[in-house]
Amino acid sequence: MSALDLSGVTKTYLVDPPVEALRGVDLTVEPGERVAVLGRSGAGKSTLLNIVGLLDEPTSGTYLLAGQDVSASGSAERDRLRAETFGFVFQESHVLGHRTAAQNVWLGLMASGVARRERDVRIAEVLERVGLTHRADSLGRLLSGGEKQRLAVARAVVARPRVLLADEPTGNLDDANATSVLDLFDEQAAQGVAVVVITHDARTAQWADRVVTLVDGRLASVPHDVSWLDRVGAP
Amino acid sequence: MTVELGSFPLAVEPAAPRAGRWRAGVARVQDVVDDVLVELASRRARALLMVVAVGLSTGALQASVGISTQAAQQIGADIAASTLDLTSVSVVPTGDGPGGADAASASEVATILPADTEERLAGIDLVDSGGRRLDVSGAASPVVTRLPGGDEVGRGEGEQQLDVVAVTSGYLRAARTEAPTASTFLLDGDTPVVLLGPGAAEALDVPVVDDPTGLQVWIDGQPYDVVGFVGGAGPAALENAVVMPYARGLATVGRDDDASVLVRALPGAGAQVASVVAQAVRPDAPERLSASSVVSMSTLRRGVSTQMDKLAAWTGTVLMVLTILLIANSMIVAVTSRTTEIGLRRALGCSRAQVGAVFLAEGMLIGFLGGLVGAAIAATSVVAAAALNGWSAVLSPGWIAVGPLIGVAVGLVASAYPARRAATISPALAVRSE
Ligand SMILES: Nc1ncnc2c1ncn2[C@@H]1O[C@H](COP(=O)(O)OP(=O)(O)OP(=O)(O)O)[C@@H](O)[C@H]1O
Ligand SMILES: [Mg+2]
Repeated sequence: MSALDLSGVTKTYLVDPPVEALRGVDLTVEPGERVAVLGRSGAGKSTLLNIVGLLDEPTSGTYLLAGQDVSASGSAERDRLRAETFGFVFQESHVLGHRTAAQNVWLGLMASGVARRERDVRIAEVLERVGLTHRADSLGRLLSGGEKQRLAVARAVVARPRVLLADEPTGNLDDANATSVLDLFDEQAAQGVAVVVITHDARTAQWADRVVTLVDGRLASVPHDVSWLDRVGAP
Repeated sequence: MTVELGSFPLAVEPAAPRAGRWRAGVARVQDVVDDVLVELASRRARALLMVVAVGLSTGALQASVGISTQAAQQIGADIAASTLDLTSVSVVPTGDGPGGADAASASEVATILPADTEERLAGIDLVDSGGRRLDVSGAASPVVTRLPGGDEVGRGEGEQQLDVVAVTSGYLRAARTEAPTASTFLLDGDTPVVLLGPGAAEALDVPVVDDPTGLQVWIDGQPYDVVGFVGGAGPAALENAVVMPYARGLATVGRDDDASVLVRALPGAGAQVASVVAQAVRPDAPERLSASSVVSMSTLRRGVSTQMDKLAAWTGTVLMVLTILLIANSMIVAVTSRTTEIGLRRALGCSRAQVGAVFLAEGMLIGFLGGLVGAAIAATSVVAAAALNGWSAVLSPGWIAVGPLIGVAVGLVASAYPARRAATISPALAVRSE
């Protein structure tokens, strides 16, 4: 069964004038698959990611999450599914500066249902995996950009999500840091986690198993080479 | 619940058993408390300011109410000590004129209260002191002057009216009236002497001196030696009185229908004494006398303390409203500046309720700590006020516990709106990059 299965998903923002951000998106992602989503600025990439991650509701269309129809789920159900199923990494790491690295990761467990006594072990484990054990007690604002983004990944995966959603996770990083974040994503994919990454970055596109592009609010699969990047107008 | 890696489909969780749900609820509350503690610890200055604000306002409310309550209790206790053991005995009016105990002797005035009333009172167990009083001014109209044939005092326009009162020394003792003991015994005789209340002395132009030998006032054309001065305070109310021996007053008035007896019982025995006093004074006709407790003063004072309570409550309430506004404002700013964090929390699976709970809990915790500070301030103030006034400080644990409770209520009210705002932030908007 697919991890995600969207068909005919539309999203219209009811502002004046209304914005048709998505006009019928079909997207299927398998467990362990790494998918890159490309598209020019304003194409609706973040909109799509919010809908996939149940942060926002589609205007129409169906959305099956691991076979379960969640198009019409209530907010309590969506909260629960988000806690159990998804991990998020954003372009800005949204690391809380006045909390330590460990306390930032703790937030990822708050809604997870992981028993309190297990949490410290989990946090230590995941900080080790992203190479931040030595920074566990540093305040978030003292971390470097790369460290922050690895911490954000740690926070996203500490509750062991089945789908990892990332919105330009390497947008603010240099090559070395970008590579280490993608390596962390690889580890997750290897464990069966579906990884969906929005990117502008050619290397991330190459890293992915599959690349889809958003044009005019619809998705198109593109050949797995990056020469088309110039044509869709990505930087 | 453990999440199996890579296991699809999503297992639908069976409904948690009751105990499990309860434990999950407790864990969730612990999470929120942990979270708030981390937050407060990392913004210590702000937390401290809010705690102090709550502390000052709840402390002020608690202290002012505490002090005024204590004052009221103290005044009540003073009054109780001076009046509850007092019994006033008056003559029951009848249609058939004086038919007194001593009416047999034609040369003497027929009286209802026997001449040996004081001895009879002393014969009752549990009586501290007691004596008769007759308001001469009420029954006759004695003319009081400073000099023979001088202007009458206390009758003119704007002049303080004088009360001519006849008492025995036992009466003054029972009323705890300040008076020189060396001269009060004269009140039990028949010599023309007077003691003056402070207002009367002033009206008569008699200097209040330690030794008033040679000073005189004239009543109905007769000279009376001034032998001392009495205090005006207390249940006797002798501020403007010219006090003469009971026997002389009785001779002036000619009957004692309007006389009364004041009896002070030993502490706590007021009611017992009141029930037997009529029988003791007039065993032949106890129905001629009626005994009642003296309570009018304490009723008066209770009115005063209620006003103090009201003022204290108003002051505290205004301070409290200001504190609520202060905290609410600070938290609204915090919610706005933490919008991204709130979006992040929602993305990590927190529900609206959980996000709101963080802010409610923060408000309640600050309120609780502030209430503790306030209770400490209040307790200190009450003890200090008691020490300054020479009262005994009364602090009940229940009263101290009220502080944190008020604090929590303040925090809850102040954080309700900010929490609501935090809960309704759209996560999709909140996580957008700037
Ligand atoms: N909450 C909203 N209300 C109204 N319009 C919105 C809202 N969110 C997004 N839009 C509009 O929808 C369109 C798609 O926005 P979206 O953020 O999904 O683009 P994007 O592909 O992520 O762009 P970028 O690469 O610049 O991040 C844009 O035209 C945007 O202005
Ligand atoms: Mg975007």
